Amino acid sequence: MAAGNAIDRAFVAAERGLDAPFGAHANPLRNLGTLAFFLFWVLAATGIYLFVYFDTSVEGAYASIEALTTKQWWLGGVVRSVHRYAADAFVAATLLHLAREWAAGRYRRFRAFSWISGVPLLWLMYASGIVGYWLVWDARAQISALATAEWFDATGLTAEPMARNFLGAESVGDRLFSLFVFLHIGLPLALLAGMWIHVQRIGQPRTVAPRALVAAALAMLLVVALLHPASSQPPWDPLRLPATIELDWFVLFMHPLMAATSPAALWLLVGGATLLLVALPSLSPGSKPVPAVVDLANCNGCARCTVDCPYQAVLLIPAPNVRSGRQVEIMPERCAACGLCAGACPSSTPFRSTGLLAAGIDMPDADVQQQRLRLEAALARIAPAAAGRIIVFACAEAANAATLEDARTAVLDMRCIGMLPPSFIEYALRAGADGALLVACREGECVYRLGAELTAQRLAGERQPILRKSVPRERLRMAALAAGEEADLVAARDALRGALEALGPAPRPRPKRDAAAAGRARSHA
Amino acid sequence: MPRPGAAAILRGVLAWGAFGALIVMLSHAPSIAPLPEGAAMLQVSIAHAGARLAPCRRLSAAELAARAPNMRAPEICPRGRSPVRVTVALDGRVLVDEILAPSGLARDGTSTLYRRLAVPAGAHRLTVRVLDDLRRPERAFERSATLKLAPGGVLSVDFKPARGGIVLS
Repeated sequence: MAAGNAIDRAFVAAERGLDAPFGAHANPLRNLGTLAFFLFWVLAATGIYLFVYFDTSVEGAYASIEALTTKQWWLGGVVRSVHRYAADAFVAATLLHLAREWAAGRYRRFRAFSWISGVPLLWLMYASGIVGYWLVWDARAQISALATAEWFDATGLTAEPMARNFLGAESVGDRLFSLFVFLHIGLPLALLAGMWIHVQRIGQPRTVAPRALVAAALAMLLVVALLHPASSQPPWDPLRLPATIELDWFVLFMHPLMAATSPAALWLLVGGATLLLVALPSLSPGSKPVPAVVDLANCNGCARCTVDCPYQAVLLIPAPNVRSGRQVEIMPERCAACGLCAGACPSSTPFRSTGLLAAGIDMPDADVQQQRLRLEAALARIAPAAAGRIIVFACAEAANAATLEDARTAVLDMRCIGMLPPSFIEYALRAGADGALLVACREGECVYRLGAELTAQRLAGERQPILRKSVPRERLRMAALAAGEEADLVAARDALRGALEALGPAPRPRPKRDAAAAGRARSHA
Repeated sequence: MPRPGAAAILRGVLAWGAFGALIVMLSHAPSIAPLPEGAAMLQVSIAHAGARLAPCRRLSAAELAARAPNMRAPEICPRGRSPVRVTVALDGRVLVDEILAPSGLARDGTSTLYRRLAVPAGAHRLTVRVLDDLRRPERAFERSATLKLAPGGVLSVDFKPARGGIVLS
């Protein structure tokens, strides 16, 4: 795991380095999966154009691509080059995505489905790319087709060696080309279907690249296509091989690897790697989180938790006996225990006047009742101070907020800032705090994907449950900082304190709960 | 998001530029040599069903009567086939000498062989021998030829009885 940690640190450093020019939103290293999706569509679009001009025959294939490359270089040639380099970039982005998720440990438990469903995509990606090179029907295709056939022949599953299909001019017919075309369309379609499955357990998956990322990727592809246009090798000749062949190492690296070892060794390597990737979530399962629970007595079936869950762990199922006709259900094996569902629940509010708070969906080890008690205890700690009292709602995965604790600052930590229902902020400001500081993970680094983003939307009134308009926004700050950025956190706290001292104490309407309790006390008296 | 400064933009351009350069570089280089320098390729590829181990024979009336009415085909042909032996020698040096078992669970399919061999370019004496009935060595097909193989040249050896037996192309 030391290697994983080192790679993770390297990725984090590189990601942060690229935040400055692109912003986390369009940072290619923070959007590797999204970038791969975009490159797939580039491949599809350019592939359709190339297919229009492609001659599906042994005699015509090479010539048709050459004609497109030379006679229509300004469009066809560029499209061909973009297609080629987009395929390479697709492989690079996918492999980087794989390495990034592995290094960050994002393959365990609730992420296992996405991880395992990604493994067959690697096979489909390489199969699509390799067959694509055969369509050119040049010396590179000759070597690649023969090597691939030899690799499959080593399984002993074919009645006749597949390699015999590529030995001489009479072995290769136009029907074989129809098969190639079928494969080069069918395999990417299967890949697309697999990519769709791959994101099925991801809430609000980002499959559409932001415009800035699209613009940068397209610009890069166009520049390399113009500076170094893709070209064919000498045409396929069953009687002759060229002395050297340019190889696309992104797609075709397995051929020289097999030549240097053996088909059996390559099967062992590829099969072993596949099995290892599939088994990884089981080999290193990590700790089991305590999943959220549903309290149907407090659930009105609003489905906010279903929408906000980052891992599709909360389902909405029909419930004929319930007034709304539907209710939520937790899939425990998918639950990350991030608490975003509790933060989204309209019944998760400290203002309710019931004796014991309960929410429609909640975390059993940190429910709304416990959260209110912790908040009240925190507020009691800073109550003696005269002004500038700050309550800090801090994500446990972000910068260490415990360092902020002092006579005027109380910290309430939670698994994810998205777990915080906005009503808790209002409650804190009414019950003794002069201001609130929310500490979230650095932009693009939210451990539970959506916590910081959903919280910001809730505070801005763009997403339910919203922070009510009556809550003074000038007494509220949000700091998105990672571990190691504690100095910036102190600075954020001090800046808020300075603003609060200028504003004076917060207006304090009594919380309804206190008013109700006081009323009950009067009636008892 | 604050507007990025010139240094940040330059960093972004450099990052995409480096990615593009990596793509172009590994998309073309390093080149590979399909064959060692000064070598030619000999492809030996054979797919041939060996001789039947037993000839077809007509069933006797008694045998036919013993069978169900729908199973009374007049002739019965045992399925097993002989292995095929293939020998390839270049300038007297044996490169391939293999006995190929018939494929299939009933050992009634084709015997297959595929070997890709790098050989020195130049003039050679090639001898190929195919025996498709191991019980009758005298029935072997044999062909010898003096060939001049150019560097990078590819010579395929196949066995097609319909075209006279051993085919060099």
